[in-house]
Amino acid sequence: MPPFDFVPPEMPANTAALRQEVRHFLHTELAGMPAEYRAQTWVGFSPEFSRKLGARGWIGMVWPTQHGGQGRSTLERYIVNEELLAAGAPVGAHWIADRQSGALLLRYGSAAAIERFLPRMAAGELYFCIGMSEPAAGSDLAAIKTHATRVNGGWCVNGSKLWTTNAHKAHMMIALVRTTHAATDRHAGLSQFIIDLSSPGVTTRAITDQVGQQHFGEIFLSDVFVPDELLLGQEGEGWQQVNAELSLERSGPERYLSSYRLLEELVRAAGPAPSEQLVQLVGNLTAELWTLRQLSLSVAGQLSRGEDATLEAAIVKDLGACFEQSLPPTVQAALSDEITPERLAPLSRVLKYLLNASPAFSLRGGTREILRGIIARRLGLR
Amino acid sequence: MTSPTSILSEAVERLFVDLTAAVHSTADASPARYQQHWAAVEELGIPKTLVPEVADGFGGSWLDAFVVCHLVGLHALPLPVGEALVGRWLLAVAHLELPDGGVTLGTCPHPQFAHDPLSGAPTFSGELPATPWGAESAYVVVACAHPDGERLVVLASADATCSEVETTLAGEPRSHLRFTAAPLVTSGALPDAGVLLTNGGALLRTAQISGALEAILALCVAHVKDRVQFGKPLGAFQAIQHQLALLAEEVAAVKCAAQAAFRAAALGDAAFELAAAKLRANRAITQATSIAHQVHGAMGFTMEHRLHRFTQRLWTWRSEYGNDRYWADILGRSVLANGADRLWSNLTSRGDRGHG
Repeated sequence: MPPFDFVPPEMPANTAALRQEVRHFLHTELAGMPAEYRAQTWVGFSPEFSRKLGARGWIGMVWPTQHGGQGRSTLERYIVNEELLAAGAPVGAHWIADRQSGALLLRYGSAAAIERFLPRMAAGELYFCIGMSEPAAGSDLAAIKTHATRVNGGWCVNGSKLWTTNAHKAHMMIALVRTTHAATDRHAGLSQFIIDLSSPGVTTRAITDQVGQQHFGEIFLSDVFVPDELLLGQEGEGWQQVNAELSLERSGPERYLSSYRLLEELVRAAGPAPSEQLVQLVGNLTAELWTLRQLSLSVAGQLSRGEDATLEAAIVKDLGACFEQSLPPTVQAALSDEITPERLAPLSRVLKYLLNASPAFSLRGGTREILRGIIARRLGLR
Repeated sequence: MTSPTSILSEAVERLFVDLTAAVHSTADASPARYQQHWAAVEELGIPKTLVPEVADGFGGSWLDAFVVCHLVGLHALPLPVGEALVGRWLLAVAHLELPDGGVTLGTCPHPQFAHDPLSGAPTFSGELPATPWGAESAYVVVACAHPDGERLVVLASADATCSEVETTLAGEPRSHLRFTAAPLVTSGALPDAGVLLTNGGALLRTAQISGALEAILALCVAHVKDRVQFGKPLGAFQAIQHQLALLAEEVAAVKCAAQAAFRAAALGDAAFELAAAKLRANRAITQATSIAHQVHGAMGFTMEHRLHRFTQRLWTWRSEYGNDRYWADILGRSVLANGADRLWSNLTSRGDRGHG
């Protein structure tokens, strides 16, 4: 038996009603939004939109009500998020807080940190970023050099973080930092801290990507004071905590829907009598999309039951990234003058954006090489 | 707690392991030997998995059916167990009764119905190409176009006037049966019989593909741990590790898709899910068999090694009950006909069925 099993869960009883509610909201909120903007989905950054979602109770849905959440199920949250992504809503501002920072805080955060941050995160007002990579530590995360030393009442952090999504736009960063230098085990001695990016000693710098956008950046930490209550979990347990967090990061609907807009626009652009090539292409892409959704839902089911989904999440992310990344060139190769210029125009704009943006799909959240290494390990090969 | 499915699974798997070993351990391919193997399958009631208990069946679910068909693929069982299971399901849907005995699935492009001039009993004439174990199975369940609407017809293979046996790449028989004014064992009206049979066959093949892919992953993992080159096991090389990771991803995707299609079948209309699952399964085969043969090297290319039992079946099953082009056409046309604004809502509403 292979060491994995993917079984999509039963959807909640209120699924249809919840979808309708979200679709109705998005129909109004996103009216007139061009396809090429919708194609940006969770790269799109709109505090205004995030606050509206927060007001509807659609951020931090699974968090307890006493902390600003809604106490709803993992699958209800999944439904809302896949609807947001499929419609192309600009969810980037609050995405990381909702996806992983909130869960991390609830699991490892001090009572003071939970009380201070969670309600504003749920309101769509307080945004988080994840400080993992550094100049000399990309895929080799354990090579990080940013370090914290004990001081009176807390910690003093020095170092820098790189390739951090929303580095210059987020309010808070959850950073992986070295707290002791273990002689042998490089995975030991790492800890996670919540760092207020308005603290003295913090400077951020946006990096312009090849799309021309500034979605990631660099954060420099120079003698930054972090109080004790903003240590997450146990000192020295950072590596284990980060790996658990990555399952949340790697399996969601954003891992296969990044190019969904292109498929929908292709279907829209196809005329009343599509060629055999277009029919075949749409059929093949749909089979892949549907399968990925089943896989991603299965992991959501696992996470909702509190199971370890490290392997399954790695599988979903690698398959999903390959699909998202192959979709733009595949569609590009299949286009012809059977699509009239008026129909082709919006499709071309989406294609242009996604061709340019898609190299990142197999980098962010763990490169495909790292993911395949995880899978091989679970097959017993490493 | 042990679920009914896992009890079924254990008993069926034991039998399939024994039968596969028995078939491969002897050169005796006599009809008597075949019937002996088939009797063991019938004894366990496997062909009647989907037949309701009131009709003397197992009363199982589509998930049980998946387990059985998946195991056929996992063990490369050289018997038409899945065909019989689908055939007996079709009979149950059409409310037709049939004595025990081997059952396979047939298609007839140009059936001709008439009546026996002496007895007045209805007769069937037509050709049934590529019928799995057509000569070995006692009965052939055929979906036919008929002037009064589609019908399910059961023929006795013994009544075939001509049977030319072709074998698949894997050596499984696919018989060309010709019937001339043959009596009908039984027959009944069944709307959409042709689609039901094709879809049932495609479900079966999808589950078998998922089983065979799982088997080749296990073979590959065992091989690369065992085989040493350059002073270390093949599995220690990153290039090999990543190839097996890709293979594992395909195994995961196909099994998940196949199970989702069987669950949809339990809800009724599974046309969309089935098309997507068979297509996804077909598409996995090129990459999966290529990786499996590559990591096995020359020894995987020998008749002696078991790998070909799975890869040859995979290449065969890809064409049967709809190849890639067939299902991509059906799926693509349905999506394009629904239009862009209903693409996402159709995808989700089908998945949400049966709940809430």
